[in-house]
Amino acid sequence: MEAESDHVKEMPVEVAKAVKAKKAPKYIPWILRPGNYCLVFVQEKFNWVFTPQLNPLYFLGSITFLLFWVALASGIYLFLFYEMGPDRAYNSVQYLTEGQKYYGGIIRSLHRYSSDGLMVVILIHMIQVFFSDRFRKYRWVAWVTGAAIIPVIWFEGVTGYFLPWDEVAQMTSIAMSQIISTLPISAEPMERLFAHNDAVTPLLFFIMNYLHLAVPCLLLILAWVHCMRISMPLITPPAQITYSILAALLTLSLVKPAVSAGPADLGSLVGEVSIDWFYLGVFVIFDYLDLAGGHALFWGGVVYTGFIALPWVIKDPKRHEDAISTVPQVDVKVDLAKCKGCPLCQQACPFEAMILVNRKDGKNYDTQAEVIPAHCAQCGFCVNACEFGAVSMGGWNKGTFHDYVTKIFTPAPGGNGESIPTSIAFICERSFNLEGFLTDDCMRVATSPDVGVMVVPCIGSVSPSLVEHCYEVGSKGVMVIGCRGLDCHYREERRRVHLSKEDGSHKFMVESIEDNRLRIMLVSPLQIEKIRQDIDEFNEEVKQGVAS
Amino acid sequence: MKERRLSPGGVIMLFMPVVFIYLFSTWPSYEFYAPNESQLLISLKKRTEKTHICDEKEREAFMEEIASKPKHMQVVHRECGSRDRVPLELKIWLDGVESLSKVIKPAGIRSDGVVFVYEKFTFKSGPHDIRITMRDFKDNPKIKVHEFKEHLDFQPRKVTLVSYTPETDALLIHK
Ligand code: HEM
Ligand code: SF4
Ligand code: SF4
Repeated sequence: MEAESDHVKEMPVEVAKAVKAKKAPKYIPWILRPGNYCLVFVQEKFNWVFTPQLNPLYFLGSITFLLFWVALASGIYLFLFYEMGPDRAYNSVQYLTEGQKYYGGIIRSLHRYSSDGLMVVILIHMIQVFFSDRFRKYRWVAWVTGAAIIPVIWFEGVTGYFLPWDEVAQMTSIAMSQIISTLPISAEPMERLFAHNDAVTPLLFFIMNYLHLAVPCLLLILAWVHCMRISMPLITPPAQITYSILAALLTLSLVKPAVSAGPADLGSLVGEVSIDWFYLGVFVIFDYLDLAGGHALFWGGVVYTGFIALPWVIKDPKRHEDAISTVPQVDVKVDLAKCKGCPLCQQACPFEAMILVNRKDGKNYDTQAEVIPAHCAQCGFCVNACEFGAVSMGGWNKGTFHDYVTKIFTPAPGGNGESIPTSIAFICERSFNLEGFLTDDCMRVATSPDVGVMVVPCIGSVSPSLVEHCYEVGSKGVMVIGCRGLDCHYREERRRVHLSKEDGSHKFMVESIEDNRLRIMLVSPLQIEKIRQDIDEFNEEVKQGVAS
Repeated sequence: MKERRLSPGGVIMLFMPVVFIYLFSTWPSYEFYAPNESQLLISLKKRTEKTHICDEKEREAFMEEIASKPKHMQVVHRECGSRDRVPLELKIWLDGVESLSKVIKPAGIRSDGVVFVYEKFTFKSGPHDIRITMRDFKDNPKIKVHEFKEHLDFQPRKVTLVSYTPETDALLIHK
């Protein structure tokens, strides 16, 4: 005991600062705040309806993958029947639509609607990562590749609309070639390819067809890079969501089968046609505003590049000196003297920032842990995942975490009459506004002084051994309070969903403890009162549970 | 802990994107050209004259020079005269009003390619006077001027394509 309290005295200076914390820090840059508020509000409504486990807004990346697979599979079928050449193309697609109404026709519709859905979902996915502030710093690779994917998918849609060679294809080809002609690629205006019916050769259909096949390969590569720095990316949505989406697509295909417009005729002008606004809307805008392709393309490119560069423009808000933050989020260090080269910290890391490299210090282990600072989110998951206390962040390692908990359950030296808490809550500092929620020293819940508190950067840093330590020093219950689903800034929920499918042998997951003295509360930032009640309720429960 | 609600609100929310896609995959339709519009399209390529054409003397000198070189260095396809070619001047009058006057450079960094023309005019259907002139843009009064001059009845939503081929050496309506 003596040695331990010495250790407490030697806690990093940051702790002393944290003890005086009063204000809740702001994490979201001010420019994103209104959008962020709207996003949280909408997600909350969806949570109410679908529950956080099945909220489609938490699975947009994986839904995008699902729609992509549907488009790919249906596309392969269509490809088998597609014939190249102006009349043959139109007729072969007509045959699929009319001649095979109940399979080819439906598959064509599935192909169209999954592509439309893809566009809708990636745009929502983009808005979501943007306003939830998940696109900067260590996430820039996902942002930049994502932003590159949008024009590629759009281009894929445009090549797709060429293939049936109907009036829409005619409009699309002329409009698209007008745009391409303004680029300094070839001296011959591309529109000349569509000057008259005989100009359109089977070779062109061959090229477009293979472009339409090649672009998805490029998309797959981009999607792979997209997820490269995200460990355990969730690429399949929950079964219920998958089935609902498939059912919705099928219903749509039956209710409104996709059809071609009249056959293309370059000797005639395209009159009124149905427009797939998700892909072809931009041509309508060009036509309506009578925009010259080159200028629009140039300025569009400039704006879009600026948009892609936003991760380097939008900066973190300044943190208050007296911000609530028990554990400072600074550079992570590995103490080689303690590192055994086990893979625990690496497995815990959500951003592929902790890696195992060959042992360099001559110790008898194959590997050692190493942080890649540019990938690191300073989430702290690795700190407590390391059972040997080798990983630290701002001086905090496993030992310091344990000491802090010990301190919470140790009576104050002078005996100021304050009772020892019954239970402890580990609260993620981002999960809701902690201002006024805690006592001034941030070690108790203001309205339930019976509940000790440790504020953590994310609940992913709470490990089973930390929970066990709480019991050892006298806590009757442990609450782990964090964000729901994708609301977690560090993708803790992703690990949970992912790992729940596995054998559960991951020692750093609190979920491996099955004990009714442990309660994981994933809370809504909009219902602080409910959080208070739930904390009280649980605290009462464990009190009585132990009393009886 | 898992609480599920399937409320009418949930069903509506689930179907919101479906209805969204249902609608905007075809609606609203858009009219690119009105029923009473027609189009005149001029799409052609033409090889213009070289900026410098050799006279008899120059050609002889050139041939001699070539012959004096070792066999493997006699580049057969090289011709006497400049590589670069002159631009093409194109003028178009619609109902007597000059609507386009353009000097178009040949393709290629050395301006040694052909001249490409792609111009279109959209107007009300019906009879119109069309006059197109085209000539190699060179200070030479003897140079041939190609002219297309006709009174045409433009059919609604039809494209009339005027083109040029070296075979006929004339501006003609593409049939
Ligand atoms: C084909 C299109 C796309 C697919 C298949 C896709 C898929 C995914 C997946 C599976 C994830 C990981 C989600 C997780 O497990 O937490 C993800 C994350 C991400 N996506 Fe996309 N995405 C696409 C397009 C985009 C676009 C257009 C953008 C924005 C311009 C974007 C930006 C991001 C960002 C910044 C993340 C990181 C979020 C985080 O770390 O929490 N993505 N995406
Ligand atoms: S968990 Fe700890 S001991 Fe294991 S590799 Fe990481 S730092 Fe080393
Ligand atoms: S702090 Fe988080 S992101 Fe950084 S190395 Fe540790 S687990 Fe990975």
